[in-house]
Amino acid sequence: MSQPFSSSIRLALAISALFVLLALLAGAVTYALQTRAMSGQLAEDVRGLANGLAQIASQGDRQDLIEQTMALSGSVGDGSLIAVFKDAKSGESFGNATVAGTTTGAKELAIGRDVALKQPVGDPPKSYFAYDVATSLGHVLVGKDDGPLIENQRILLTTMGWGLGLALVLAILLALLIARFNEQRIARIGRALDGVGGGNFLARIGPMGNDDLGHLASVVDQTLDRLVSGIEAIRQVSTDVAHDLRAPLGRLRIRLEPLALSPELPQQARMEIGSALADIDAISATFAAILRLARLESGAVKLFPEETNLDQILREVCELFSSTAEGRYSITVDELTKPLPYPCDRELLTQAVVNLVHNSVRHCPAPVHIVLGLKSGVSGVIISVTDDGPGIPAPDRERVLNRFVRLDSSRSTPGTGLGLSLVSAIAELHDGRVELIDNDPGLRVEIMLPTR
Amino acid sequence: MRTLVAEDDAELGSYVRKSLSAEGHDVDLRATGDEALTAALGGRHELIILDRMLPGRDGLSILKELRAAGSATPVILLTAMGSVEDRVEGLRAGADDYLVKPFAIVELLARIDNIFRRSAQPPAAMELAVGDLRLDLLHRKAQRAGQDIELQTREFLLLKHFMERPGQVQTRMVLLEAVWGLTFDPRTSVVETHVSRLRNKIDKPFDEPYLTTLHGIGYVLKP
Repeated sequence: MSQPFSSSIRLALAISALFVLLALLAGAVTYALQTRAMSGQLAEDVRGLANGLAQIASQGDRQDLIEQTMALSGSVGDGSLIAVFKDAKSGESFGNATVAGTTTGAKELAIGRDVALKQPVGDPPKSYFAYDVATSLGHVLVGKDDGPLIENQRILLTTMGWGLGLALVLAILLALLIARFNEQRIARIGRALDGVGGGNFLARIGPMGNDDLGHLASVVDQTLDRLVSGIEAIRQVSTDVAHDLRAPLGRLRIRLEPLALSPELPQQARMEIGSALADIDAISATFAAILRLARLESGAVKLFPEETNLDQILREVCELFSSTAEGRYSITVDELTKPLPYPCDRELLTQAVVNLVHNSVRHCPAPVHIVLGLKSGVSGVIISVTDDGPGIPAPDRERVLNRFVRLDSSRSTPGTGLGLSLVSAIAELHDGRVELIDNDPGLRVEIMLPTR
Repeated sequence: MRTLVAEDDAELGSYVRKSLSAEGHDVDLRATGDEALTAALGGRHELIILDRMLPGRDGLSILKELRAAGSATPVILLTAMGSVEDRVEGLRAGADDYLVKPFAIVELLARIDNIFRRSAQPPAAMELAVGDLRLDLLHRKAQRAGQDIELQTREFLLLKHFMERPGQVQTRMVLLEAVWGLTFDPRTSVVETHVSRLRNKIDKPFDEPYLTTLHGIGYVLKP
């Protein structure tokens, strides 16, 4: 979820980049059009004026041409306009400037190189855009300062640069903001899904607006509702079945018990009834485990923690199992185990350790060695049950903590698939958790309890 | 013994009444919480067997009121299946023992016996004797027909438990609690294994067996 560049951010940056590209293109086109229009205007101006002079020249009145040239050149005092008549006979140059070269048509004249002003002016233009016409009397040329055009182009470029830059920054900021916002909303969806996946069935996304993401969120929420109610229903069914069968089981037991004790019945019959009673007890035990687990998981169970020596629990469980080992397994308490008082429900924790040892005994081929350990650190206390059996494959380790999950490899051994769930529920009741670790070879199950 | 049984399941209630009557109890059966409380506060009972889930008023609040009123009458709570965890809560509220349904009548009888044994004066005897079987409580040694029998700790505790209750059926759960201090079934054959070892020591070398297995019910030491 929190990679440096999420899909939203990448999208935002891509759109920003595209925007910049398009804006640059548009700017370039504008610049080109504007420049063409302006220079076209200027060219039109100077050509018109030059043709005017040429018109006079075509009438052959040299004096008039000189006067008109002088008048035109004197009309603007700042040197922004030049008008020149180069007399073909005398080679004399009339007007306010002298021009090198005699090419006709439109041309660019740089001051100092192609053109010189006769009367110096303050701040003279750097270059002229000029039009030269060859007449029978000589060349006439009118030029205009093209500084404003260049200045205009500069202003256009600067304006466009600033505008574009600002727009770019704003666009990126906005895109990132939107991306960030969406990222947070996606993270919210992720958190809700993670929560439900992790067992917090109440985790939901909640209302998130009316856009597509908001719609997706509400669809996900509805799906989670249905999923969770499905899971709850399955749990409820097993709990209900167990619940409903309590009374008939109890009555069945009540009817059979006196018969099993009755001296009037033959020994064989009493044995059979006794076996039936044992079966009823086994059924009751499974149902009791289901109901108990449901209660533990629902949080309906009140915990009465008492200062308990955890090492004592381990020693007792060890003794309990060693007396019935008969060579199938061996069990020891880790020699490093020291007395460790801890406030907990002694009975529940004992049951948890018993269940774990049970699993090792049941699922490992003989002879298996089981070690019970106890560690205490800053973060809390760890009770461990370690065996050297075949272990559990990594992908299944999380799964076996769930109710009724039995791996295919253990189908042939008796059990309800509730043992580890119960251990997990007991750990959670103590604000702790259970972890299955590869012991290579074997399995190590740790009950981690927080410091109190 | 006047015994109050508060149980709303009619069949279970009448069966408990029948069984307890056969053991010499004078049973007062009530089916609702309020009736049970009134009867209990009447105070003429020596033992109260109280279902936690009763219509009207629940067993735990009846127990609390009873204790608040200063009654010390022994109470056995009957708890629903899967509610083992309520045991501590029940004991804290002042119950003397608890039983999870469905329970065996022999277990109820064994627990009643334990409650009154606890409140009775401890026997001054240093030795228990049943038939030609003797148990030295001080040195933790048994003897049968004059032959010494070595016992391990749990075997001694087991034999002591049986010899204090000759002729009374003991269930697995009762033995687990009395000898191993376990209030839940560890689903190991620990009881069977120890009973079998004990039998090998006290019965096998002799003609008449003392320790009998009642299949599906429990164990009993012949008086």
